[in-house]
Amino acid sequence: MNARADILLSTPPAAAPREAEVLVEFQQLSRQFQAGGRSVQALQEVEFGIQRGEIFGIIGRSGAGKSTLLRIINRLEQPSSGRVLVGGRDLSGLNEAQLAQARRGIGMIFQHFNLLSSRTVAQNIGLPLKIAGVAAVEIEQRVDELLRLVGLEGKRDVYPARLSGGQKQRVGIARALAHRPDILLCDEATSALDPETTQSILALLRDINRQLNVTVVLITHEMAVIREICDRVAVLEAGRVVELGPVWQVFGAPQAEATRALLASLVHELPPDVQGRIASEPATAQSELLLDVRLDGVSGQDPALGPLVAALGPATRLLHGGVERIQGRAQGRLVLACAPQSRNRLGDLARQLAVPVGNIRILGYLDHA
Amino acid sequence: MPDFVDLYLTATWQTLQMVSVSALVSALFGLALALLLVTTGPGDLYARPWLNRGVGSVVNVFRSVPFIILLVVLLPFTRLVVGTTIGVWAAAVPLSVAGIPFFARIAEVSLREVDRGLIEAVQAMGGRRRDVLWQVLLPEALPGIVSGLTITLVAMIGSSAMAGAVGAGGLGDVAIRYGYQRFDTQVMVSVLLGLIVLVSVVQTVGDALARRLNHRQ
Repeated sequence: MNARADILLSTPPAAAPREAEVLVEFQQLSRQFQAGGRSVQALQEVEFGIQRGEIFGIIGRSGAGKSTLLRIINRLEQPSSGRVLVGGRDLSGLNEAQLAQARRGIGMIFQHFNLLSSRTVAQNIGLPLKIAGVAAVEIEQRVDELLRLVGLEGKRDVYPARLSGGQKQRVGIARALAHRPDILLCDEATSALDPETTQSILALLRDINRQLNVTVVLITHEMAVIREICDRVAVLEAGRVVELGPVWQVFGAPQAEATRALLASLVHELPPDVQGRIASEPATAQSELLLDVRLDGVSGQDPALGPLVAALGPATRLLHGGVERIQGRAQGRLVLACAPQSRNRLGDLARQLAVPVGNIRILGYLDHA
Repeated sequence: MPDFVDLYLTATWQTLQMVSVSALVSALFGLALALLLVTTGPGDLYARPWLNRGVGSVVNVFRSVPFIILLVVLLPFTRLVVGTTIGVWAAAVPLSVAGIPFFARIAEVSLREVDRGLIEAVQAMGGRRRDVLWQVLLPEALPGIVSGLTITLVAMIGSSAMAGAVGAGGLGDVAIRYGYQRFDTQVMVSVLLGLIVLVSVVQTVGDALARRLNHRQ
């Protein structure tokens, strides 16, 4: 198919054949904007690589530069300095036709779907092919395949205005995949959808990643989206990458302040009724020791309850918290109330739960009113 | 009475001729001008800021001249184009010249209302600028453009009344000469009824067409 971007299919990197291939590479990338006479630094010396086959998340508050970074990949935005390599190739300096050709290897979906209201579902999905000069018969075939892929066979000749948000995004995904791209860019693709629809769209993106081996790059401001499907994540703050790593690591042991702020919505904060009863010293003989255990997932072990009780004593109570599996690793936070004398057994507890002692924090003593 | 029927039919035919020819010319050139205005501004697809400003100024000049004055000022130009300064064809020239910038401004509004996100989507899927023009801007703005053409047609039917000044005739001319200047109420009323029917038909057909083309609901 002439419509496919040859650049993305050729040029395997010469070095390290067994290692993961870097598909998108940012090199000392910076971008300034002129806004009302002032220069705004949208991106500053961004440098990292996205590997072929992974789902890579870029997260940050609005204005952190994530949208600019995503758009630089397919050159909807231009860098001020630095380079971006896509499949080993720098897309700067291409003429209009060459750039159009290269973009056919990079699909993109949008927060507000950006479907043409004047075209039916099938016409929207077939548009990238029509623009590329693909024969009508071939377009029909491909559109039918794509409709099946996204589960919208029945909506072929419907106009987008008649679709729900989730269905519109499915059309957007089908359209983005028309040229069988190697990369799919997702610009806040689920931010306009309700939680249930978000789940189904994320599941579809995961399927596309696994089955079609499409590398997915998504930006979002919702940590839950990253947790749901991403392999690795970069945290962007004021145009800089402040943290980057496997999702379980960034979630389990966030290093940057910006990451912790973004994670705050997912952290199980202590409820006020418990908070109000914490004292620094045991007030009565019945006071319980309050422990905050952070499971960072580094060991890959699930927290076992038997050894936990053995370490802290049979009176141990689980007051608050939660455990989630992210990329197969149990992570979360447990707030435990136990006998005050268990204070000496924290090393034992850390060993049983396979977490560093530093992850166990004494919150104080819980008084019983 | 047959005299009057004859007059009435001739006038109707003249109005239809003047307006339809002028509308066709205005639609074609006005739309081209509107596309030029929305694609050549700073940061647009074919950014040519000086051209954009120049064309915008010319459009404003033509939009500010009252039609009856334009009719007279354009006489040499009219002679150049159609070879005469009287009759239906002579009136079609100033009507078109007034209609082009009028329709251009209306079509421009519809084209500007097309979501920037759609343009971005087509660029991201590997569309060139001409694809943005033909696949996004024009089809997405079409319902608004059709409504705008309806407005232009109705305005043109109004302006065509002044075409009597160059002997083009038409319904409006009959209304002025027989109805207004000779106080012939019967002629006046019947001509006005004819104009009302004409405008209503144009508006109804235009609205129906725009509704059929609009799939946003």
